[in-house]
Formats: sequence, structure tokens, C-alpha cells
Amino acid sequence: MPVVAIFSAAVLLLGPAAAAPTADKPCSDPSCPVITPIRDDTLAVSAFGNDEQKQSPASKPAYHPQVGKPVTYILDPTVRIDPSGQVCVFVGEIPGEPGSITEQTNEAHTFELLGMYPLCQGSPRPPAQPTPGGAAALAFEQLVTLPQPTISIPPGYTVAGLRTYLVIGGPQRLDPEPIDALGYSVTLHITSTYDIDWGEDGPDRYATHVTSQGGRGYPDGDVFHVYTTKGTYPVTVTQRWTATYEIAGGENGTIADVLSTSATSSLPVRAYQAVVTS
Amino acid sequence: MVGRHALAVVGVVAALFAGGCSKHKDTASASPTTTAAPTTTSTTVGVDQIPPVITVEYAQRVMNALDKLEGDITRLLVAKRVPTIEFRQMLTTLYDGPAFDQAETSFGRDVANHLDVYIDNPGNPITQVKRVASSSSSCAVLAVDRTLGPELKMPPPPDSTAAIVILRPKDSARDPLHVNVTAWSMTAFGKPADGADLEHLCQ
Repeated sequence: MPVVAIFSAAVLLLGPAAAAPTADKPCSDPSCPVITPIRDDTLAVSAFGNDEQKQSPASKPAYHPQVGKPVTYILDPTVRIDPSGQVCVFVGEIPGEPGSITEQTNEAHTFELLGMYPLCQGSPRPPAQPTPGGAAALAFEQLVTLPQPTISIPPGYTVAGLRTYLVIGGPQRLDPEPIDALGYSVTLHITSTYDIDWGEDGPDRYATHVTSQGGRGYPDGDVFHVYTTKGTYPVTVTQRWTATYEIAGGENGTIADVLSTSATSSLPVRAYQAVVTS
Repeated sequence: MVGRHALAVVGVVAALFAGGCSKHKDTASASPTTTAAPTTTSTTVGVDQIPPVITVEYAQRVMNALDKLEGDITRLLVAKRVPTIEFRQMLTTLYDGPAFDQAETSFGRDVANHLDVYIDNPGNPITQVKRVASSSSSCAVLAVDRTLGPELKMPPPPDSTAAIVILRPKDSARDPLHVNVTAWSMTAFGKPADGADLEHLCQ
């Protein structure tokens, strides 16, 4: 928004009667040389299309600072190549919310990348010491291997109109040994819930925040679905992992980022029809 | 920042008239002479030229070529996983000015995030030019629908693709690999800023 303001101010300075310099017509009016022609076309657009379209609303919530509050900035690491062909890290800043998922993730990425590539020439220097939250996020996102859930729907097919029982396998909770991340000893407590996509369009297609693994399944399991139409449906279970952390020496907190693992199984749904014979 | 380009002229080929003389030597009698209807054709201005009047049709062909280049750049980055000299040189001719800095930052941010927004074999962006809002021999402001969807795992919603693309003549020095077949580079791509006078941007 500030760049737009500059553009507007420049237009006001020119005034309607002034011989405004443009890209095509260099200024010939004696009053013009004090005015620098505006050649930055990005001033005419409010957002850069690439970033706007690549941004996932779920993973990168927009930052809207409250009216009257100062704009805050967070790290914005980018990987570039310098003129000599060396891959390097440029650590810029973008407006963002302290304590947000994006801040933690970006900080973790910054230090992870600086462990792989040198700092680009001309890049601002990153903070010497990451925050405990950034170290914990790095441990959670990069250093812990999260398992995939398993799916079981005995006997491997189902019948339309009847309950289909799902049994989910794999750990729901992880308590890994303390992890050394960016100079901190981080202890993570990782828990999860499940999102289920039964694959058949309808109001009951999705079940979210499921905490049960389905018990013993048929005939008394508590994770089930009734298909209405025969066919073959992809059943997807997404396990969403969240974590809290403790840093040796005191500090603890919650990691804002949510990670996920998933599994999909193809389920045939049959339809049986009663046939009346004489 | 931007290079000098000669103006191209839309050439109109003179009407051709064809005679219908028979060339069969063993024909006993001469065939009646027929005259073909006069045809008029116009040469299409190549995208490596800048016509005096920039039409939607011409702008569409330019954007098709630039979309292909952006697809090539993205595929190279996804294949190599990190920026390379070739990547940077290709990006340098696709975008110019502050838009290049923004594009370099955008792609660099994607690499920092493990390129997880891209599909394994990205396609080309798709642009539909709706209107030429303003143009001159050194500038074109295009109202477009432009989507990066074919590159991305999560394509943007169809109703979010309306955008403005601003083209400026390509600086040949910024295209050492000769990968930009057009006479143009993009100097902006995004939503119109509040109050931006797009209709007069090229004047």
C-alpha cells in the first residue's frame, strides 16, 4: 500500500496541466527535470500475481494488522543464485504476525536453509539466535518422521445401504526423545486427530476431527458410513498432527503449524436387489 | 531497463489473381478461361515484432509465448530443485524491473518451502487476454484472466484470475539464452491498484 501512495503523490505533483513525462515521451517542459519519471509498473498492481495464486489459504493465512496497531514483520527466507552460480539464502522480511504459523515456519526454514547454503551477498543478516518456538517448529517439521495411518475395511468391500466400518491403524500420539535443534534441547509431545473422506458425494462425505480409530470395526465400531450407491470409492484418512514443546531450561508452548499424513484405499460398494420368484 | 524495438508494419499482400489455364498438352480443345475470386491476405505480425496497433489477438499470441516461457522456467526449477544460472537468465527476460525482483523472491520463497505448491510436471500458465487497456510502441496494459493453475497442486479459484499484465519491450541484453521469442517482457502482473489509471498508463 505505501508504494501506491507514492504513485498517487507523484501524480498529484504533476498536476493536470503539467507536461508529465511518460515512458514514451521524455519531459521537455523546463519544470519537469525535478520529477523522476515513474517506470515501476508494479505500482499499478496491488499484489503480485504469482505469489497471490501460489499462496495456500490453509497454510498461509493472510496477515491483516489491526487498525491502529503497528505493522510487524517476520523473516522471509528465499533461495536464490548469485552471479557466480552459488545457491544462497536471502533473508528478507515481510509483514506478518508474531507467533503465527508463518513466523514459526519461516524462522525454522531460515535456519534450516542457512545450514545448507551461505547467506547471499546483500542479504540482511538473520538473528544470531533463533527463538525457542522457531527451534521447536524446526524439530517438529523437519526432524520428526510422522507415520502414515493405515486403513482397514474388512472384508475389503461393502454393500450399499449397510454400515461400512472403518478401522484406522498406526500411532495416534508420539513422544520422541529430546531433539537437539538449533542449540535447544526440544521435547515434543505430538498428538493427532483424523479427517475422513468417504469418497461418495453427499452431506456425510467428510468427517473431521475424529479421535477414534474405529474400535474393532464391524459390527460395533464407532467410525462408519452408509453408502447409497454402488461403485468404487476412494476412502482417504488424513491424520493431522499437532505438537506442544518443552525446552530444556523452562520454556514451553504450542507449535502453531499442523502437519498431516494420509492414506487412501479404494473401496468397492456393491448393491444387492431382492428378486421375487414365484 | 527496456530495449529499443523497431516498429513492425502490418503488411498487406496484394490481391492475387490466378488464371485457370489448362496445362494438359493433350487436351483437344482449350479449356474455358476462368478467373478466381480475388483474395486478400494480411500477414500476421510476429510476436518478435511490435505492431503500430496492439490488438487483443496479437497480445494473446504474445502471452501464449510468455506463458510457455514461464512454464519452462517453472519446470526447470522443479527439476533442479534450486535456482540455477539458466533459471535466472530465463527469468530475467520474462520479467523486468521490480517485477523481476518480485518474481525472483516468489520463486525463491517456493524453493525455501520445498516447492511443495507445484505438481511434479508443471504445465504452462494460461492467459486469456480480455482487453488492451492501453498501449503504445513501448508499453501494453492488458486486462486478462491469467492462472498459474496448471503449475500448482491447489489451483486458484476460477473467479480469482482476473488480473492486469503490463508489457514493456524486451531488453535483448537480458535474454542471453534467446529463450524469449517475443519482443516483450512482463513488468507487472497482479490486481489493479486502487486508483491506478490503467487507460493512460502507456501515454
